[in-house]
Amino acid sequence: MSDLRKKTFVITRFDPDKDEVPKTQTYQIPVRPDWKVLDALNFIKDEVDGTLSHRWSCRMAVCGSCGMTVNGEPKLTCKTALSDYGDTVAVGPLSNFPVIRDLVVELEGFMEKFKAVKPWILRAKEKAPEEGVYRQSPEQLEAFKQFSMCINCMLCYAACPVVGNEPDYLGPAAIALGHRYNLDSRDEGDAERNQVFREEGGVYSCSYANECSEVCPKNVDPAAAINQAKFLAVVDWAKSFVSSPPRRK
Amino acid sequence: MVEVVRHDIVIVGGGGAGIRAAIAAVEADPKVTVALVSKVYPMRSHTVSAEGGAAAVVPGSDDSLDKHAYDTIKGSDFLADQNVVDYFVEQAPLELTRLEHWGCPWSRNEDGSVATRPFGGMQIPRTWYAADKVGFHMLHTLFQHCMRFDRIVRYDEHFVTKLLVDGGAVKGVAALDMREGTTRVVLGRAVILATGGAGKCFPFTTNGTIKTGDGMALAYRAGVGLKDMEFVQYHPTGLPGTGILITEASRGEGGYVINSEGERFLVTRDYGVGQKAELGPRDMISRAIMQEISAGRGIKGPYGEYVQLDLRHLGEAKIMKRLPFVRELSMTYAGVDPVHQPIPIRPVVHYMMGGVDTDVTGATDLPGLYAAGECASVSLNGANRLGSNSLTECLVFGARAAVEALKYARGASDGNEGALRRQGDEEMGRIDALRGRKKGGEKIAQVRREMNLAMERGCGVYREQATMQQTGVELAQLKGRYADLALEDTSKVFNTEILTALELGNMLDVAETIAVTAMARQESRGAHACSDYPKRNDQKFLYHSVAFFTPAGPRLEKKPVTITRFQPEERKY
Amino acid sequence: MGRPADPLAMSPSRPGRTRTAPPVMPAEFPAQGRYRSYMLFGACCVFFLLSSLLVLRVVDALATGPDAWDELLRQFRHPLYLAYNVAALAGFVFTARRFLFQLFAKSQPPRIGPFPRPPLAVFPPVLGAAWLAATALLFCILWGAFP
Repeated sequence: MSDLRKKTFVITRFDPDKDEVPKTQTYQIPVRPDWKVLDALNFIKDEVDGTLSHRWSCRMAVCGSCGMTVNGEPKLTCKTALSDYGDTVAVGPLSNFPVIRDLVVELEGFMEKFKAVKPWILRAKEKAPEEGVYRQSPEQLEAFKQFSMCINCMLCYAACPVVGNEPDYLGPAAIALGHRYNLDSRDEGDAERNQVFREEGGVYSCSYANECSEVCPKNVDPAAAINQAKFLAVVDWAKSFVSSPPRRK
Repeated sequence: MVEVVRHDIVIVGGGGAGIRAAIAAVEADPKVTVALVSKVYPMRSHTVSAEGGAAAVVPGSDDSLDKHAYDTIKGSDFLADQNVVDYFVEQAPLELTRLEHWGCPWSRNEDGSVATRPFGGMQIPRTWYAADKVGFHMLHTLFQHCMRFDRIVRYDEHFVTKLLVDGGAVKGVAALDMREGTTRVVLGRAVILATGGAGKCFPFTTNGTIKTGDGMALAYRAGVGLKDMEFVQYHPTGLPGTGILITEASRGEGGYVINSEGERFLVTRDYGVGQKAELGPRDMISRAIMQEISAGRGIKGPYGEYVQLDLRHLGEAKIMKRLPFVRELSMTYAGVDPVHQPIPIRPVVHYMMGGVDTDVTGATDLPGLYAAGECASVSLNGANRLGSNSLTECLVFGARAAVEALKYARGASDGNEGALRRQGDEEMGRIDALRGRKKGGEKIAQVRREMNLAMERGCGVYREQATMQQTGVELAQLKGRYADLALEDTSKVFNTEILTALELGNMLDVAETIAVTAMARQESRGAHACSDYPKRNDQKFLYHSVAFFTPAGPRLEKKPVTITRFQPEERKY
Repeated sequence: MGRPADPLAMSPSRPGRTRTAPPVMPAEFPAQGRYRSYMLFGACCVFFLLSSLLVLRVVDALATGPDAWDELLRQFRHPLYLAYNVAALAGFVFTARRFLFQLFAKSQPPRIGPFPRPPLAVFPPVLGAAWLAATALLFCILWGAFP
């Protein structure tokens, strides 16, 4: 391994059975030039310190497991090149989340917010599979396609200042997902979801930081979804005075 | 003392097959509750990384179920069970339509109908696709849809370590709760394994770190046979080093595979793929690439030799529309923009045709135990799988296994809860003893690395009797060394070291079945290419190999192939 | 490490089964990196509040009569008022630039009634032109071009 240089990793550690508060631990390891941050973490776990806990799986930026804070910014560690950093790299768990252990954060809060926006097709009348697919033109697909690309990596939650201050806030990924269903031509659940959007902690908690879209590794642009949802939720509210309650299954 | 929870059925694994099974179960019976036990949150399951598409005959097109069946059976080198294939091709369009109803964003034609693309080994384009992230869209659609059902109770980040058997039938599982580090007993009158394949037995694989053959090992250790384990699919186009998948769809959309001389060798030389060229079946293309490399027409790189996938002639517009993820992956992980440069590729392990032996209903020989998806061998794919059949397979057999499991569960007993609880306590004791066991001379990563190398040498694209034998010996030694592992992490909360150690144990068991059955199959068929026996031998080897656990190593049996309509013929394209 | 976030941030409704370390705010919050721009954007609300109060004074003076109006204009020549106006102008321009040019385009829903949204690239030049036109018009009015 002659073309290898050493880099120093300052990693946040936390074991609830042993530590009162999180602390950092420093490791110096040889790294390959083409490594991502995740490769370094795996090397540390495999060869240096088997007690390091972190989540990862696909290593190709599609499963969303490996989100962590790298030198102060939320990153997908499987996609982040070590060569982007100097001799010292600090790795910690995602900000704004309670920490279970080392680099592993609590995801149950997100799962609740996720479910709250009813991320499924809501229709008054559904077709049987034998009747064939719903027709959807390429333009109709384009309308929501971008917002369906979210891998639930939660970098947006880690970056959003409102998430850290308002526990009730649904958050970027959940709102983007709800909006994705609202825009889907096959869905008829706008009114129901917009009700959720108008509640305490809904879309109007967003104060235009735009950090979510800045850090999103998949270009979902949740800030666009939230702000579009703000407008559409108001339109829906105005309509509700004129038309009858929403029809749904 | 273990905590015990009870549901009607238990599903192990939360990927395409697992979630589909859960939905099928709660839709079939409004009163049942289903435990969905997964070692990761379901949206992390490896289904998410599938790229190309899912195959089904488009209703109303000039395709036919017979053609899909024939393509699948021929692709399997006539080892697929034809009753299974017939059931599969009939259900496939309904399953993909159901997924569309649940919101899956299939790519469309101008008139709003679902678009299809050509895929390897298919005579008519019937692969439904969602840009080039079909697995991602399918898994997220399934997961989001399953959230509607409160009766699907998820046990996320629970690693199943043992099947609990009472009175000769499976009555539940013991699972390590990663959060607390304790064992939870999840009881159900039937258990469905949907845990995926075991690509991580090998060093270069498209698979993510979670693909460690857990369900296969669980069934194997409970006395169920693993069928056709020798058939390991090497996907022809993976990135060298990382093994990251570059989808077959890149060839379906017109990409060329070229050697170091820029030659489209699949066209200019005779590798048995005929007119299909780059769209031949995966086993043949992988072999062709390895032969080109052996002949000195590969390109040397830091992770071994490779050939190239050329997409430049497709143009930026088409690449961005049909293959945007491929472009992103090439740029991030290979440093290459496919619009301007060819992508380095080589065959990497991708899929296990073999798995837990089941019949067409997903039932194993052990009452109460079912399996579906990549971890099962129904057998739909025989000796070689056609691309885009496996995502549909997850849906079709996930649903079927759930329906059958429910039927069985209605008539089954709960089992002796005291005995099951005791088994759970023993399991917890076993894991507590292993956790942080500092005494020992072996490191997990070292044993794993040596297993990987042994599998690469003995069970590669081309296999030789001598090296397969050597691999078998090495694996037996590694199993001995596994018992001497030293572990550092004594903590209970989210201890991933013990998880990795348990996964390694599963992989060693599965790897052994692969090596032993590979050596016993003295012919070349589908993905199993034996240099000592280069031809297919239907007289002696037209059967499924089934491996059973014994303390001395796998014991092999033979199972007949169900041949109904299509008699085995020479496999030429 | 950042400052502490709300202790319940991203917490599930039922406490987790093991003790967790409390959430922390992003490391660069509040005054580093892009958060600085966000905080300034938020802080500009002060200018909106104060300027709204000034507008009320202007309306009140107009309603009272010409003497009150002259008195108001005399007060507004005080250096502090002039300094405030310069600062407020900077604040409004900053806010308008951030909101109009960075956020407005992507906040548009894909369809506005029956009409599809124009391509995103159209928005900045159109907004810029509208802004210049409005500025020019107000300038002319205040300069007395329209008697």
